Amino acid sequence: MAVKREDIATVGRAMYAEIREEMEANHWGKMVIIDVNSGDYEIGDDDLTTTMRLFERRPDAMTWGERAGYSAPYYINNTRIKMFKL
Amino acid sequence: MMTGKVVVLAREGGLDWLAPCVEISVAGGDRVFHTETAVVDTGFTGWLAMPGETIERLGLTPYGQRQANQASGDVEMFDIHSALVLWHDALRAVPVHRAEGTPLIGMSLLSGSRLIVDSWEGGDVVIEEVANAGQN
Repeated sequence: MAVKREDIATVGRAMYAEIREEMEANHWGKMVIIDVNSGDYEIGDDDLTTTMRLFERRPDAMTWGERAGYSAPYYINNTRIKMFKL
Repeated sequence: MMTGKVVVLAREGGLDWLAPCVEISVAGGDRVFHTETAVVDTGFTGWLAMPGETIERLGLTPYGQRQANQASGDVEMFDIHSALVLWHDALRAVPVHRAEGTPLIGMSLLSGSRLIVDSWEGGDVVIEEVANAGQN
């Protein structure tokens, strides 16, 4: 059954918790992309190529991503302002 | 080569908030390309970030969620979508973070390019593809 949008993070975190120890021991710093519908996952250097590899096996994947050993895979500081003068 | 301009995003307390901007061609699954203005943000480690209204308008397909560290130290969660972007005359399928505010171009998309910014209002922005990037 397809995981609902509001449950992606909960399911993704729970699935990652199961494999975290192994990922941090053997794949530190790698991207881990998990299909929350099937539990299938891929390990790779970056989100884009790793997700693409997972999509080859799971075309309908709904994905959760972790960077092994890190609190989050990305840094962002969006401004939340919309004004533009071009 | 892609070019843009440094614009004043906001004026706050007499301080101009300058941002290097370029126009990019982006499409969703229907492959109808739209021109969007985006800020080049070297503090963003992803490919593209766009606000919800732009993502809806382009009809980008969601495929999951990702967390990101913010300057405040908080970790926030973002929906992630796929988009096609015309980058150095080539089509690339890239992830797009759904993040409110101005669209952003991040370091993952800039990877392999040289970025030149004349940091004053109206200054030039140049993004050049570099052959053998990272090997010199």
